[in-house]
Amino acid sequence: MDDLELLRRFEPVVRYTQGEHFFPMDVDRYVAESSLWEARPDEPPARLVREYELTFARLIGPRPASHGTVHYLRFVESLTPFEAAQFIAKQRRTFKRSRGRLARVGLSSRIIDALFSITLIMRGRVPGGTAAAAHDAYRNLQEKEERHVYYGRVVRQGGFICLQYWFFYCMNDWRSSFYGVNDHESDWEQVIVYLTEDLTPQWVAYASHDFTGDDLRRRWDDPELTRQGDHPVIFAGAGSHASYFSPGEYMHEVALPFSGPLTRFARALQKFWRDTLRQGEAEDQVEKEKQRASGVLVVPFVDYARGDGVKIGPGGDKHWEPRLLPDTHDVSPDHPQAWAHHYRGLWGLYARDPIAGENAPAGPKYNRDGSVRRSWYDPLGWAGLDKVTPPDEVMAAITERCAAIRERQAAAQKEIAGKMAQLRALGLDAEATVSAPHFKPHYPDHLKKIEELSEAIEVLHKNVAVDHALLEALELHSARLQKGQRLPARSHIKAAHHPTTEETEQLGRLAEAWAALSVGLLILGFIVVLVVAPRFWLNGLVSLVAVISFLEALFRREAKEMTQRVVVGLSLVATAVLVYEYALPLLVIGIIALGVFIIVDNVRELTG
Amino acid sequence: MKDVKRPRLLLILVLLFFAQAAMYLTYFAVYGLHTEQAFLFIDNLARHGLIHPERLVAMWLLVGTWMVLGVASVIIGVGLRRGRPWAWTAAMTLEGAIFTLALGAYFNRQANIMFYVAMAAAIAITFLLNQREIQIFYRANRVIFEGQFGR
Repeated sequence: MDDLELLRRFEPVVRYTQGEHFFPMDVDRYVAESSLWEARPDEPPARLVREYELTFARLIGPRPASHGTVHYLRFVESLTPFEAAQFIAKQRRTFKRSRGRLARVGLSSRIIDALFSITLIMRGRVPGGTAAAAHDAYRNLQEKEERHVYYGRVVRQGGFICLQYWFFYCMNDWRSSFYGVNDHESDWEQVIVYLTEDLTPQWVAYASHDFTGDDLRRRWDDPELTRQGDHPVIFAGAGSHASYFSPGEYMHEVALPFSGPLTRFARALQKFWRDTLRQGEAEDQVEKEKQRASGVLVVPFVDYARGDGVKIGPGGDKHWEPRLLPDTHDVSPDHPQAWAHHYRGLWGLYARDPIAGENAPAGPKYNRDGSVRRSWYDPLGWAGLDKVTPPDEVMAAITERCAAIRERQAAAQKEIAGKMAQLRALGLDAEATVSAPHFKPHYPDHLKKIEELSEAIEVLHKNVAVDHALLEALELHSARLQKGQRLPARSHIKAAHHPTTEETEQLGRLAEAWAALSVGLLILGFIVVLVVAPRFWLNGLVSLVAVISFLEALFRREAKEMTQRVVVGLSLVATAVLVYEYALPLLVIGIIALGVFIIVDNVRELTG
Repeated sequence: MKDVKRPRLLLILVLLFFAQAAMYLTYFAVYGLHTEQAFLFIDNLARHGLIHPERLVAMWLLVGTWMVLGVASVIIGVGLRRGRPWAWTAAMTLEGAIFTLALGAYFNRQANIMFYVAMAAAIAITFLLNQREIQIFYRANRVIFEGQFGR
């Protein structure tokens, strides 16, 4: 079976959300309509090739430039706000958003969201009207000739056959059309299907936002993975095109730039509070909390991957047109997809966003900085599969591993015997010289050698014991595999991404309205307090936050949790007050307590 | 029914709660008696316009508060001792009220030693109520009680 046939046999089905504007397309028409630009550091960007004049030959031509220079394509000129509004008004809006992202999170996240919006003004961003212009251009292209293309390559690595599928979109309009994090011209998304040599599918990995390594992949028999025969089903995020294993609405968190140190400090504090002082909620609630927030200054966004719209692939509304990417070592410029190797620039507008979210991505082979993507040169390692033995090789690998361990154990035993003989000889020397005064200068060195040798033997014994346990575990594992028992399909997953629950999605329009108004009300209320009673600004602010937070808790049916948090907060303030007022007496009490503890401990030892 | 082990800290929590109840009832008794005697004197002063009647109201309010806190502590302490799930929530709410009162007095420069002692007791009780084992015990009991008697 050749590579193209292999790709076709396992090609994915992609299910989009209703209202999605962009679907995977060929790069040929995109490049033909684009212009090529060069942005040198501290210089305005210069157009190298005009639109309709750009060919693949010109795109991949050598283009020497100083460090920091970025080459990029520009697919469309953004519409003016008036034109964009006109265009959007003409569209039939089929996307129905559910409860807003802000209603799904707390007041503090909403305040941070306002800050995030401010950073977006200060950072480089894709101009408003770009998504509308791209939508118009894409629609015109598809009306002329409808094509749904994926680019594929087959990589044989470490006993696996990796079928890599790349989807190219001319625009990511997550922010402007679906209330998401970012917009960028062009989008490359990938999934990989991993087969064993006998063409049995074992794993699939979907690229999805911040997930890396083991969390990207699912085993072929994982119930979370939807399949249609031999075709895995992808649920693509609306606008973002991120890939998910099951349909739903996914909460996604974006950390504010430069919030890392604060987040690390907060996590350390949280760990001390929960693990050392054993404070806080019960385990299941702690887990819920961990899932809810991974950082301190994070902004929540929803990725809608409902799968209720267009379906492309086998059995779907539209069908794929596959294109083969060149092999890893085939760098011939004559290959129809030679651009994959030779164009290192960005595939859309370079918005000069320092945190890169609004800059267009580079191609399937390259990262934005021009380095080669890991998924290109190491598709196994990208999904954490480099440590996994293919199932058809695992029994032989276990036998080999057991033999190696036994060999190591035998070598260690031999080494122990040799060192034991040395140690005993040294012991005899020590016994003989302990009562010989003229050996006084040498005796400490002698004892030191004995100690070192004894420690080395202890380490060897420990290693032998560990190897023994390891052998037992391997034999048990081998027996289980022989019976056809595999590890649970999800045992490798550390942080699975789950869609938000129905309960969260249905808290109602009142909660949504409250979420939209609360931060504004807080600010307005504070200004009223400042104007009416400036002396009581602090009391006013605290009262406002208290009232708004309590209403918030009522909306979320979390009044009890809210009470608990407030009381714990008040207890910390009260502790600070007592420490401030009674620092010296508290210190004395502490010292007395320490003394009493030592006495009790010693007395217990005496009497015990 | 799931067998729920009583956490060792529960005994300390219950004892602290009864100690808190005793403290507030003592405050009530001392203040009450003192106020009873003072009442006639202050009332006399108020009649002659030498003291504002609001002072008297504030004094009686405080005495009433001590009594309410004392009685509530006894009831909640009994509930905690019997492992009743409502008692945990009520205890947290009561400690919240005590903190509000004590911190309010402190920040308005009205606090005295009684308030500081109240704060110290409330801190210890909140620390114990917020212990994971204690919370798990009362949460598990809620499941049992709801199973037996419905919500």
